[in-house]
Amino acid sequence: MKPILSMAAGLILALSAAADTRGFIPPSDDTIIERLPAGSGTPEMRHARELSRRLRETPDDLVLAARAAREHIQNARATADPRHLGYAEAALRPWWTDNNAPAEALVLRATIKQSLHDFSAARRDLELALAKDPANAQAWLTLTTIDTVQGRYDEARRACIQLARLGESFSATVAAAAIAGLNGQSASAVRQLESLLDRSAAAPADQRLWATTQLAELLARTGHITEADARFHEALKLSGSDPYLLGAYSDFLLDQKRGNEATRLLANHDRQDGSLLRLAEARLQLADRSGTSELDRMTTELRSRFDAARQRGDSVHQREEARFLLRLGNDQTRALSLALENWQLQREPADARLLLECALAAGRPSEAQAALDWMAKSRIEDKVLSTLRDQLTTMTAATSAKP
Amino acid sequence: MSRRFQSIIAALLFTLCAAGPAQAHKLSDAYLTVAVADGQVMGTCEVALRDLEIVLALDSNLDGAITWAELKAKQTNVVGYLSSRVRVEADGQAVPLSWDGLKVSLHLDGSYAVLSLKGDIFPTVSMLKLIYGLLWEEDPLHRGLLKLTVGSTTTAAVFSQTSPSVTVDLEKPVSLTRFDQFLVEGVLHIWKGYDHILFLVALLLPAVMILQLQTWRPTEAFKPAAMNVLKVVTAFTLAHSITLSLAALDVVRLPSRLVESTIALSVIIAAANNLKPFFRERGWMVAFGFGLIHGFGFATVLGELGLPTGSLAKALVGFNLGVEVGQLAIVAVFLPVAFLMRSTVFYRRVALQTGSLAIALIAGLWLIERAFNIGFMPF
Repeated sequence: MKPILSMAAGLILALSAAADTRGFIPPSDDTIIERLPAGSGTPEMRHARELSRRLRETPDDLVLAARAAREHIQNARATADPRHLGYAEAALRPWWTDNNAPAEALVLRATIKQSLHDFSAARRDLELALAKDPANAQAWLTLTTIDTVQGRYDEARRACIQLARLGESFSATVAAAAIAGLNGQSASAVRQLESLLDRSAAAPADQRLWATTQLAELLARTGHITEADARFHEALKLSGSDPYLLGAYSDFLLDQKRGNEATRLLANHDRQDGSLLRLAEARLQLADRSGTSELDRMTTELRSRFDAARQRGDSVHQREEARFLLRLGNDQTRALSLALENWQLQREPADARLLLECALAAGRPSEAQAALDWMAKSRIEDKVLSTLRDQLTTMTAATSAKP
Repeated sequence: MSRRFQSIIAALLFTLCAAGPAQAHKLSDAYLTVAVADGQVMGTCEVALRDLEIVLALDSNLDGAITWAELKAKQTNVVGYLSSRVRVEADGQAVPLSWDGLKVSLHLDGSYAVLSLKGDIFPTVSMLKLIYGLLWEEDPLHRGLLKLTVGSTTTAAVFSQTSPSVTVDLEKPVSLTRFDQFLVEGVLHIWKGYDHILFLVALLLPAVMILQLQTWRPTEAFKPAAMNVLKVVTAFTLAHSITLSLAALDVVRLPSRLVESTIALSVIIAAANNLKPFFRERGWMVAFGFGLIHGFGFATVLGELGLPTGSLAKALVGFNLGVEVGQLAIVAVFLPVAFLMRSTVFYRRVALQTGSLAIALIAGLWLIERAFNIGFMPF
């Protein structure tokens, strides 16, 4: 009996040290309590902030406002830090709710809304902008992107044709290849992208990055693993920190059971939820015994981040949260319901895959019907999706065969 | 633990965290925690230093890092900024708020400046309005997350540019007084907390038996059985009252995962003793030892209910008494039935043996679930 008592006492003593961290006085005046991203960060951030400061004197200066907004949006993309989107919105304040705002402001507005996954509001703004200025290439490009993400391929194609007519051949080609690659024409999409990259070596790095990443993903989906890997490496040479690329390549590595490489790739990017999620999945895959406490820490951290987003009423993270609950959070039911909600918003291969996996894990194959229908209708060529579809069919047959 | 000791540990944790994992990228939030009780409005407002930097240029030497001295130097500006933008109105009249006690807190995306706010209101005030307006000029996606406690009810709200204020009706009739309410919560908690019930039941099952030659035999008289029960229940009560109070008063705090896992372990040990007696008839000692841990479990629930600031003691006593009442009700049903059935084969084989085995099994699953932070049990 005594050992039990003393054990309990020992536990209490050892752990009473876990004190409340909310609100304390730092030990000394010199203690650094925060490192500022704009201070230790990039010159681009400081520049955008400077523009915002100048804008305070002349808030109605559209030229300055548009420049500030564009730079903040660029910073949000480059760092995956959504606070920059807020700064961009602030720059556009005089035009934020005005439906008669100049096309340029409307397009920027749409871009911010798109980044926050408010796709229908973004589409509305783009339509307003195009009614004013049908030759606004950026508006057509953003529109075709949104329509592709949402699986509205006819609309996406129409916007893409307008983009081509305006002479934007590079982006029109990438956008068209993206649509073709989702609609049963992977081989031709690959050829288009390869030849585009061959003949436009002088194109800006961010454009080449976009095309190369698209190509790598397309190759990966159709099972051309070596070629995909090579293209991902090319893309990494163009930018080693682009959040979209890091996500796409680490997903590829995780699928190839190359968790170690995924961990190295994302090592310094765990501020982004998407990267932290993939780091945790890599940890899980490596099943490294020494790393279980690290996995625990990551899981707890991710859970808190999703909780924090929910507290403020955000639903931007459905895709990541569903994936988290499915693979790490052990809540198949909620994962499935989030994957279904997410499917209403986004219909990319990753979203379809998530829905199929969640339905499988939850043992409710019929819930994935919408994604299966999309697969059939789009005629997408995707090895992983096909395997999942077969598993679901088997599961459905097994459940209906039961007396 | 003393306040001083607490802050030293917090500072240590802070140093570790600041050097450790990266902070999350997220949209900007500030936290406003306000309690209204006994003619007072009080609380804290926490704003990210990153966000304050944009408005108040905290980083005076422009080295990209904010030191505690730099923040302190701008304390007046921080107070000025918050007090002009976080306001309280009582029945339409502005409530003068005093802002002080600058501190630092940690959140997912970095360090926050913390200020305390306090203001007096007439006890007769019926409508209270909180008006919020931080940072929207710089970042319209910023949100203020409000946690408002009136009496013993805590509500949450989100301030945004489109809903910059929250109004609360302080006269909303509350059907129960604070004491009664916590008493009821205490009773409900012991009844709904299957782990506490199973722990008690496992300890009480052999109370109507005596141990002879390593096997349980029925007692002759009622009195020794009742004494056994009394000892177990008293020891359990005493122990968990101690730790519940310590935790509720914030003297000691344990991580809930550890507490919950140990509670599951305690159920296993209590049940195992019925199968193969190893602490024999000294169940009351086990009840005391693990009662300490169960107390921390109760404290978590009490914390989730949101402790009223003004009447902490009342709530604590109410909750504790509620737990006792709930416990006695279980004993009142258990003891007579067990005593009457003690000589039957059913009691010895099914209730004592199989029952304890089942309890140990369930608790084993709880232990796995809680220790590894995975959920598969329906309760």
